[in-house]
Amino acid sequence: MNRLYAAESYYSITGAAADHRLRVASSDIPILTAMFAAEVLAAAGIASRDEEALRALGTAPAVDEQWVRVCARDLYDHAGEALVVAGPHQPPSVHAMAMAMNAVLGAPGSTVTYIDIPENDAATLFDLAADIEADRVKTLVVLGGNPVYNAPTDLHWAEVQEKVDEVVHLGQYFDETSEKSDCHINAAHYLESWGDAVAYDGTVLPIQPMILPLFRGLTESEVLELIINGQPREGYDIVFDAVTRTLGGGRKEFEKFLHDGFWAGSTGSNVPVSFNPNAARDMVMSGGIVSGNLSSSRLELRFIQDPSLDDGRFNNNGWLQECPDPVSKLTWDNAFLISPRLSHELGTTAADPLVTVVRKNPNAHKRGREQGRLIEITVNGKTLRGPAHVLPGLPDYTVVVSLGYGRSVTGPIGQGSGVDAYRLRFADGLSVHSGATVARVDGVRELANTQEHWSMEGRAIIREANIDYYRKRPDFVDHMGMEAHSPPPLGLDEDGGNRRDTVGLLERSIAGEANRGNSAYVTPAFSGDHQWGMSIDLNTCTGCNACVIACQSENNIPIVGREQVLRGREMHWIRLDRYYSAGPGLDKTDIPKNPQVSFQPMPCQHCETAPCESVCPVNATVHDEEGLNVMAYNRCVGTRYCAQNCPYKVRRFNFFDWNDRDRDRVYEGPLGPRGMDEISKMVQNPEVSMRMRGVMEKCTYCVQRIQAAKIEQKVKAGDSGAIKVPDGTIKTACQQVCPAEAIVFGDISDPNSRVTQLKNSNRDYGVLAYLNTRPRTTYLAKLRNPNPLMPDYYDNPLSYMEYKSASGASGYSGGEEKGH
Amino acid sequence: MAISEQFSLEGKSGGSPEVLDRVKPARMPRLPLVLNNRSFSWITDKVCGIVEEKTPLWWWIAFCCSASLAGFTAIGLTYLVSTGVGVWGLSNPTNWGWAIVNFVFWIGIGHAGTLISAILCLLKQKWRTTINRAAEAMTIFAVACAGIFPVFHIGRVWFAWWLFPIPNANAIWPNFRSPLLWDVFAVSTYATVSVLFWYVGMIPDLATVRDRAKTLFRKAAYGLMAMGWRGSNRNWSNYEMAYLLLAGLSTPLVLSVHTIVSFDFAVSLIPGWHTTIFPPYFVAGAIFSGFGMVLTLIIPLRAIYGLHDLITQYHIDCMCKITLATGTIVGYAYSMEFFIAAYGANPFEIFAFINRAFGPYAWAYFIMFSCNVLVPQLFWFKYIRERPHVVWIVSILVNVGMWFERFVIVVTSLARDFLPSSWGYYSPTLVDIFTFFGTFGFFATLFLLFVRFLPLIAVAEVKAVTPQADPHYYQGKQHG
Amino acid sequence: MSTIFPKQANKVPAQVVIALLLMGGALTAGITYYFTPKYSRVGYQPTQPVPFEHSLHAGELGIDCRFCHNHVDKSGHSNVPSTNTCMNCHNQIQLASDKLELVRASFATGEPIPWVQVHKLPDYVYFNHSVHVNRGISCYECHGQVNEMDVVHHVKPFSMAFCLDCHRNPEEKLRPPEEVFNLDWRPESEEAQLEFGREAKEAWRVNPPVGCAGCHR
Repeated sequence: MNRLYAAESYYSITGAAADHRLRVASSDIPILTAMFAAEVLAAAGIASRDEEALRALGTAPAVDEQWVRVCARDLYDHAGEALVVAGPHQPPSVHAMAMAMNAVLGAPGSTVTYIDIPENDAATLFDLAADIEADRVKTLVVLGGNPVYNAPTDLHWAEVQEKVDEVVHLGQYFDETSEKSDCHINAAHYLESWGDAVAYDGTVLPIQPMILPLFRGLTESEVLELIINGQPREGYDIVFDAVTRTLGGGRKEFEKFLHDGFWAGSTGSNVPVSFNPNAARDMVMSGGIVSGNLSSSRLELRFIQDPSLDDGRFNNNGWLQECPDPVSKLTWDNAFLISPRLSHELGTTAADPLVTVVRKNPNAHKRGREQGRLIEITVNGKTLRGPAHVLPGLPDYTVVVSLGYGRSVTGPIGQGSGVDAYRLRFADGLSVHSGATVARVDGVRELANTQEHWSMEGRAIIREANIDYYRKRPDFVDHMGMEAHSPPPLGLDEDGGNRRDTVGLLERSIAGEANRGNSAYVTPAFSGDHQWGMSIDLNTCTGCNACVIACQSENNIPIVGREQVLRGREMHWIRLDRYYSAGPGLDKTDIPKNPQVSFQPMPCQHCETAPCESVCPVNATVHDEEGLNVMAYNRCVGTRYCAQNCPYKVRRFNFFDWNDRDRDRVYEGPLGPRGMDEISKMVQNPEVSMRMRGVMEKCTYCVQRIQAAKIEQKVKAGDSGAIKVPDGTIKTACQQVCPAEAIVFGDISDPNSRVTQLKNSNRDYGVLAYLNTRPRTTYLAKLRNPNPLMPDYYDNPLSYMEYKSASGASGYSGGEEKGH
Repeated sequence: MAISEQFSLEGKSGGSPEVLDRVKPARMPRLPLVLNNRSFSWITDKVCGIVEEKTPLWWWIAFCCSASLAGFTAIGLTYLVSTGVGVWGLSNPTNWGWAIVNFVFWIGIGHAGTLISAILCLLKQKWRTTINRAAEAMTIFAVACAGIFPVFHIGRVWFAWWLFPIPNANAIWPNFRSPLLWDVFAVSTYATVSVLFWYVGMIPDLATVRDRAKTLFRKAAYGLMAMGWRGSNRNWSNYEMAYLLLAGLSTPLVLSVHTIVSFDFAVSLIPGWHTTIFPPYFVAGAIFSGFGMVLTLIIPLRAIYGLHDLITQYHIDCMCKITLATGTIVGYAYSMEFFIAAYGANPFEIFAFINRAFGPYAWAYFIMFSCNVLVPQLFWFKYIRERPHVVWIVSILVNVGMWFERFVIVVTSLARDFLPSSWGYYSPTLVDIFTFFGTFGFFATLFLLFVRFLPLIAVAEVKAVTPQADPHYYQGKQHG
Repeated sequence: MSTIFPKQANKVPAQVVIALLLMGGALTAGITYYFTPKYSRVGYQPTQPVPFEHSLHAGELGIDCRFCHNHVDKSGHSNVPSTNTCMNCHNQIQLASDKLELVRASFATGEPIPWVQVHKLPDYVYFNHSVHVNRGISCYECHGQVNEMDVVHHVKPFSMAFCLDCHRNPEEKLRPPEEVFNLDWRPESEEAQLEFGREAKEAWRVNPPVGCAGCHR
């Protein structure tokens, strides 16, 4: 199993996945890298003079040298299988040191390969600004991009651009740049365009449209064609000419190119590289590496591309605005993310409650609404006011803010969301600025946070262990949670209470033998040809949120807007729970400085004995023969008892007519405007119903895809019995899009299907299985692989330690030695 | 001598005057249920006089106020149905809020009336007779207020008829496993039986009003309602039988209806809800809150209409004692919940109770505890029981406490249940608040109409418990 | 005491109760009869813009259903054909008929003929034609004897109960796959149908969904 060390200033999902995480300010990363490089050289026993020179640069403040030393040792011990990666925003000296370390670690050719790409000889925005100031530019064509919004603030691009006589902007939206331009041309979306592209590895790809441009947009090529040749030309022809001229071939080759989706043989081949220590030495030693020297009066401001809105281009995209930030779980707004220590010094931490019942949330909440206390950050004399959000795990004096918000000219969705961090982004600190100051000001901005509580409170919800522990005790997952310590509910469960054995239990259910506690109900009778189930691997899930958006797009899930998210009414059918674990030693009112983060995607678990089904008075939610917990929207009257009885709280209620009414005017009721505009209608998936208000909805295992696959299979089968859908045909939307393939869906009655094999793993468990819900969605426990020699080594992940401590207090009789 | 020989006196029966004279059995002194030895005609005049007199000014003022307050409910519900459930403060995870709390609150109140009418009847508690009519009316109006909420809190109110098992072309039945469906049957049965019981019991008194009526309109109206009551022996005999049967029917309802309402919670698996203590706990609580409401209504009525001779200190005393008893049961239930949670070692259950008492809703918990357990303990003291003003205040606090009990049960368990990631907080909106307080207006309006147009004391039954009603009374008087 | 009501008034309560019960029963029966698809849909026979006769085309001339409704065995939607399908024949046949005026005009201008949809399911029902016709369910079972209809009318109620009847007992309706489009085919007898149906159900593993997700998603 691999081991990931991360040193970062923001709590990214990479850091969350790391086995060892060091929180370091970005300004201290160069000096930290120097420490690392020195240690790697020391471990390798070579280049002692370079090692001395690196050590002479100093040490990063508040960093344990032992951490660096042991880590470097571990890397070197695994030379040939190790890799050092530096963040793209780091200065060249850091990259040089990283490459040096990789060279020592034997990475090139094994863990890292290099590809030759053409040199980027484009001029910079600064060069252009200089040319404009010197009156050398008469017409400026801005192809895409939004420089008025996101150019460095000290460039004063808006004024610079005004100096040009004629400015033409090609843009997806009418934005800040369009406003300051003389002419705005609608850009065609890539799905409406003919074009070509080069992938990161050099492969040439075609861009093929799926629809004619809806708003008479033009592609960049078409605009350039107009400018160069003065005549409009079909996008297809432009691309055909360009591709065949550059790569050769004719119509036939081009059609193959379109058919395949790539140009055969265009992938860059790995280029052998050799490390040039002299050049590296020069780069490093002349780089001026010093510590950031941060304090509460000299903060570091770190700009990140927003995980949802990128640099601001998706500011008007409702799905992305409502998609919670992976770690902070904020929607519709950005905030200044500050460390618990800085928050304490500023006085923005929430007050301690009178009696502490649960772990304290550092962010103040009033009636369930997060109160983002306002602070002002000043950089180079420019001030920006915004809400503060305490994020455990940040370095003490780093303030992180995501770009892309606070736009002045944006569509109705993006209006009024967040603060414009670009205003503080100067040319000398495009990613990081050290030397910012902060002051607390009066006022509060309510932040729409989808998850209020951050701790598992010692409950065995996400189960994780160290890999060593797992090897010693492969069934550790079965000894956690209530089901390991309580008698099986409904008594006389003949399978010995082994609720992990979902497949075995299913077999007995189908055979009519599984104990249902003398229940008089035969349903669900699992008489279907398939039995659907899902396995989610917590070990590979990174918490990236792709599944959330995929589900939203597949199932016509509406967005509800900031105010309604504040009220807790977001409609996502799958949510990513993010828990911090601080370990058992912490007092309940203490905020952890460097917690461990665990993610858990939580869709409907499709329980075989679903608690939601028995309480619906009108039978709107029932179980079907193939194991799905089915929701019939047209039958639902909206008593909401099902949502109450769901222990996983995965059901979502349509409190208003999100689809039929204007999201901002829902409270006007029948007096408000009605109807969905034609473009929005085209977004919806016709295979899934649109739900009106008063109706409950939830994850359906993408039943429309299941039915489509079954129908196709039956049509193919005709009058034969070959009606079973082959494994892998049906992919739920979340499964389809997960980059880590953490979600696997399939037929659990088929012993050879991938999902059955995963469920047979000894890491497999069901959340809250002691309730005898018998969920069809089970999870594979997460494993961490810490290095025992590291100073921050943990015997078991902190959530496991919290669980052990909490269950000990409840009187369980220890669990490890006595096998239950 | 044989015992039978010892105790037979010349072949005369035990109740005959000679035997009584000889044996002189000790008579337990009983507090008079009607003070000042009032005659039948006085009772009739007093109670029917309320119905017959001109409407007093205070009634008009009270009626206007309560009707306008009831208007808030109408407006709130119209807004709710036209715009969506989102106008309330509900969210995920708290999908039930004030509406269900209000429903349980009102239904609970109703139980006292049925207990007084039916159970106390079967237990032959004669003191029930002056308060049972008003209490039963309170029940019916409380059920009417309660019924608003389960119907209107659903997302698509216009499909509420799907909850009924009527033939349809979809070949689909409602789900009889669901406690909400049991509610439908329980509450509708309760409403039907209560109305029947109240009405049947009222027939002789309506006939009395009819017979005293001066105008033709009143004669006709009350005559229609009295269904041709003639006061004959046959009428009375049928009446007594019907009354007894209906009392017998209503008795199990006192226990079953709120048990079924408690199943809305007990049948689910949420910690803090999933507990077998709920049926008796809810029933005791219901009777407790109902008596609180009866006291709240009776004490002012008594003062306004000068009914002190009919609704005596003894009546108030009895009601206070029942309130104290049921309040203590409720207090016992609270402590039992905590004990069982701790003893059962289910961490979710333990947490649910610690969270209730000390979490974000601790303020609600302490209001509940003090109003339900601590305040009624005042009723141990006769000094308190004899002061109607204090009793009235305590009775209001009892209802406040009982509302908060349902609030604590519903909201705290939902706000923080199994997975901490879905924990939230519920806060009512103005629509919630106005809709609820409007139901008080609705209740008051109905009750005011009842007080104005219908005999608010069961005249016939009260007469039956005066000493004069005993056939031997005048005989005894002659002898004694 | 004076009596203002005549003696018969004593019977009034009983009469009221009986009347209420009778009215309630009548109302329920009435709604169950008149407000369900069996009454409200069966028999619907709208006038079409073109007097197309299935009895002539599908019946006398024996044109297979799939000639016009060509997507029925591949798609969920059984399409009403576009005008060029009609013109395949009618560019030579009945050139002078004024019944075909609209067809010719449609072909010339490209405006589709405004056919009136006879069979329509609500939006929340997802019905797929291809899986039915490919698995032994004939058009006849739901659309009736179309090849004898002059004007198409709605034959079956298309209520959920109607669909469930077959879904729960497919053996009553299964027929040999080659006879699916033969609307005149009948089983020899009820027993024969059931025998064939049971065998087919077994052999073809016919297991129609009876859970809600089969049609409602």
